[in-house]
Amino acid sequence: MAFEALTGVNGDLVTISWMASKGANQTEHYLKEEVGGTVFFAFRASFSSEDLFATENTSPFGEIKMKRNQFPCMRSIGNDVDTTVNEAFLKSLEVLIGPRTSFHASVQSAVDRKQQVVFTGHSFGGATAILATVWYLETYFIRDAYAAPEPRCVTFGAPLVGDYIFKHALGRENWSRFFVNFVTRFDIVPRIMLARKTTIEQTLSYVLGKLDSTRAPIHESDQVITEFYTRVMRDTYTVASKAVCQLIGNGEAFLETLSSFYELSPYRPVGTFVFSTQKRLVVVNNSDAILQMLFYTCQSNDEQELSVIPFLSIRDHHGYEELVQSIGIKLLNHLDLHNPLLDGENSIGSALDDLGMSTRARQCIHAALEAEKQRCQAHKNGYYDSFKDSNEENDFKANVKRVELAGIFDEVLGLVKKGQLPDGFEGSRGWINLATQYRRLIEPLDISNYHGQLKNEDTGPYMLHGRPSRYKYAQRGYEHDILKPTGMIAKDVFWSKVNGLNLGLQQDIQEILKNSGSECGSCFWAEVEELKGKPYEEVQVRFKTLEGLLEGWIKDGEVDEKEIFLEGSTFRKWWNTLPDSHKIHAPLYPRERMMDETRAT
Amino acid sequence: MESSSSSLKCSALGKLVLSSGLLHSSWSKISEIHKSPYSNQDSGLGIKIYREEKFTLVVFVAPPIFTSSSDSTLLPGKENENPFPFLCSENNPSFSLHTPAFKLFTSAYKSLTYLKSELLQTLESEKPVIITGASLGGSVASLYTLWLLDTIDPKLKRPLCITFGSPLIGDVSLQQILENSVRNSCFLHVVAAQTRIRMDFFKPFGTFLICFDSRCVCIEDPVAVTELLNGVHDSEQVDYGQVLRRLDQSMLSMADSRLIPEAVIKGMEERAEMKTLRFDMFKKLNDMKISMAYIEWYKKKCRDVKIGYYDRFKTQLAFPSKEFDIKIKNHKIELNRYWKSVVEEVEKKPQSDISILKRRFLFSGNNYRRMIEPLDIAEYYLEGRKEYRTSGRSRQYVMLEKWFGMEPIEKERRKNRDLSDLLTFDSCFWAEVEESLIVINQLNTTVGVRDDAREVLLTRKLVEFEEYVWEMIRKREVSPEIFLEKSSFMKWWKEYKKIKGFNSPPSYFTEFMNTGKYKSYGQSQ
Repeated sequence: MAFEALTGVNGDLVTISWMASKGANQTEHYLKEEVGGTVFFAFRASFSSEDLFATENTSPFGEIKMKRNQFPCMRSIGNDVDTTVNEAFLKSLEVLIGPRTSFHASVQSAVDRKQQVVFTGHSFGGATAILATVWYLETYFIRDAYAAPEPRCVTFGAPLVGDYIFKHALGRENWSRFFVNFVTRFDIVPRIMLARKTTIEQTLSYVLGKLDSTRAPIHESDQVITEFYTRVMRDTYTVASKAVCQLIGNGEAFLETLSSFYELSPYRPVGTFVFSTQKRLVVVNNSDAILQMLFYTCQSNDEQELSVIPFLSIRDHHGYEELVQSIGIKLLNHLDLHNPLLDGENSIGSALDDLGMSTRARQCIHAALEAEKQRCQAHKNGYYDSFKDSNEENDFKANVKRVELAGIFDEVLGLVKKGQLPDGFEGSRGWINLATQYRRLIEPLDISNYHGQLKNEDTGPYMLHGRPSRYKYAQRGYEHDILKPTGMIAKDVFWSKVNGLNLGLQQDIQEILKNSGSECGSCFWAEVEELKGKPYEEVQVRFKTLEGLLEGWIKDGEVDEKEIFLEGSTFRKWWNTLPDSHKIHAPLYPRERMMDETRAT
Repeated sequence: MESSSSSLKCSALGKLVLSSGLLHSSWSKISEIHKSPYSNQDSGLGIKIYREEKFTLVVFVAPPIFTSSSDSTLLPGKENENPFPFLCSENNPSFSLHTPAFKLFTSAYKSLTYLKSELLQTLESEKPVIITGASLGGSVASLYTLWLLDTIDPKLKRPLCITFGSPLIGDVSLQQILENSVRNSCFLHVVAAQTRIRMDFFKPFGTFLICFDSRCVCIEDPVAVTELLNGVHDSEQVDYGQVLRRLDQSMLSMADSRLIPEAVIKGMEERAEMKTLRFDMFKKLNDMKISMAYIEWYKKKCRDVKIGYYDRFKTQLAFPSKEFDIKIKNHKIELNRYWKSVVEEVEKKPQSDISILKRRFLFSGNNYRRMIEPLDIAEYYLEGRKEYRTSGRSRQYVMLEKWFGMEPIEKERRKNRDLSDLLTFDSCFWAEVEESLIVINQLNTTVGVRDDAREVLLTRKLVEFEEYVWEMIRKREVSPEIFLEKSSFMKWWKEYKKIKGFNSPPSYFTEFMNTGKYKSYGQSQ
């Protein structure tokens, strides 16, 4: 019971997953198993080095960016960066969902029948399971059209797959809860991706051969394995130490200088981890804490232990059958914010004893949990509410309020960019709506202030230098939220709208619309300010674009139609100066209020 | 269990540095040179460059240090006597260096100059550079790195200087200069614990990696470094190859022991606390924008009653009537206090760091200067003082104007723009008006014998002012507020018109005023 509450999966589901994972190794790609209405997809583990590091890939960790149009949710909204994942793992996913296997069709049919799906795999098959789950979430779960049920992903000794943004994006969408990863204490595979490709390249094939259980047995004194283990753990140590420095905000300038001299693995743990020891299972959800545990659970007490750990690191990769059977028998501990007691007296303490965690190790875990606590506190401090409360005033103090609000928003944005708010914060509908409301209400004031004080003459056009990043950020969040169920990305949607206006060749138009306020409805006024006073012929395309998009903005609530058509509005005044030949063909012309105005003049 | 996060910080950073492998790469090259038969033969400076796959290593080798090596050389701020003039700040105009290191540095100046251009190329090609050396070689490496840092574009990767058991190179002034600079992050000094480094005159800067038996810690706090490095052994006698090997062996085992005495940690924490309490200009910037918004509003309200905010402020200062006017005065005081501190902070930084100041600071500062300085001028002349521009200006205005002028900005000034919210470009404009009014006063109060020469001189001053104003009107750089009915400028114009009379030939300016064209100045057309 407790196990299910902590991990989101029950013992039976784990057992079936494990059986399927074992079975998958006899197949070419994957194994499908249906038990009691749930469909299990288990993936084959490959032990060849090309399946760990893609051959053509020259990055130090075999990494590559995920494509935004295929995985629109897998990015950071705050920093506008796409997710990085291991290219070889991504390639196995591509083969899997491609036409050469029946996988896509099988998932589709499960979705059609509204069946729950579980993706699972042992070892490198686990990496495929993780990416297949992400693919399922993006392709089916998020789309309104399918109303697909929640998936589960269960891995056994899987390597790390994606970077910090991968972890952050899954957290933001509240999808981390679907992932459960089992790790035996010394298993080397979950640590391999923390090492640089160049340091382990030479011994990799040999060790992978040893990890493949169908091959020859291993010896305790195998020097190649010891060498491999030491190299992986050394790099893991660097990653873990750097993470602690960042968690406690230490010597930032020095860290920055130092960072150009070494390469650190970008990969980070995702979802729930279940570590096992002889007597216990320890459940951890905090990615930073898991990272520390990946290093510190392998530290040794003495020389003698140190010499056998490399051997154990291979042997433990095959300890999952025993682990699965022990669920419900072994003691269960949960390492989280509410149980942060790291001393040896209570059960968490003994759990950490079992995992061989030294005092220093506990401090590192503590720092990780503490950082999460601070993130939650920052959230609770009510940035949201202080923002909301003051969003509604509009008297003389509007200007003062505007600056105050900007201050609060910038503070939130700073926290978001540095990852100091919980991952889920950015994805919450309440925050997105509030930020959108703020953007629509206040950005026009900022624009008017910018032009009123003639800052465009000192600093250049608003869209080029003046637009505060808080609005760009709010715009990204809004677009992400509305486009999510369609699977489209904002840039493509914008250009398809513009192309629909038939103003010329796309590449010419792209050049003309560089830094144009038409990119976003709340920048409507910036575009008007830029265009007005310039000869009609010169700005024809830009104006027609603005006009063409206006209807949509009014409909979406981006632009307040009452305001722009007011008698004395800048827009209306400018409209009156336009040549009649334009007005007659303009989409705005049929509008009643415009008709009146043009007749009168 | 040690609960302090400071000790965790020191140890985590130490682990990171150790496991990064940088120390091993550097030391292996240093020992390679020291073992070679050619080393130690001449008394000059040896430099060797190694181009590795990931970075370029530059090793400095120097002869052993003589015992009387604690001499120091004072470097004045003047360019020709100091190879490091860019390090001098407004607050620390000079500093002293370790003489043996400085002598070696200057002796090889020519080859070092050549090396500099070579390394700059390397850095520009995105390849990072490590500059290293043991003992005196490390001290020269530090000096060289300081010198190199000045020419490096802040966008490029910073080089890292790693020294092993090297004497300190600078005095307390240099320490203070670097404390406020990002350059401080480019120095990593490896020193074995229980050794002693002379700190009577020379002071540490940069980050120290202090090596205990099987563990090491990284510390930036110079006081803690001083406290920890007061052992008995001579740091130059240590075999750092052995020190690194020992550290390396115990990397994967658990032996965690308390390395830093509790008292030292406590001191570090207290100092860290003080630092965060120090003036945070970024955090307060937004509060200041709020104060500016109040003053903007004040300016608008004044315009509604046909008086510029300059003149309104001046009369209200003399006869405060409304609470609001007093509030404005308080906002002004706040803003002045803030920008004064910002400018002071910036002036502590080495000259070449100033360009890194964020753009928005520069623009906010400029806005502040144009908006608030007129109010300071009002106060100044109300107190009956004179010659504001030369003797009354607060330092923050002078500096902000200077820095803003240094920023390359392409201006696109458009005709036909409504200028009603424009802030006059020259923030000392009103001082000029006041000076000119004083001149008029002097002309009008001439008593007794007419002094022609004096009159000619004063009139010439008035004409100069006219030309100055016309230039600004022509360039549309002055706020239309100056033409409001009750403004001091209009008062000046009425007097000036009388003095000039109808005989003098008309100028562009007088025509502009006489024909009433000024009334439509700055309106959008």
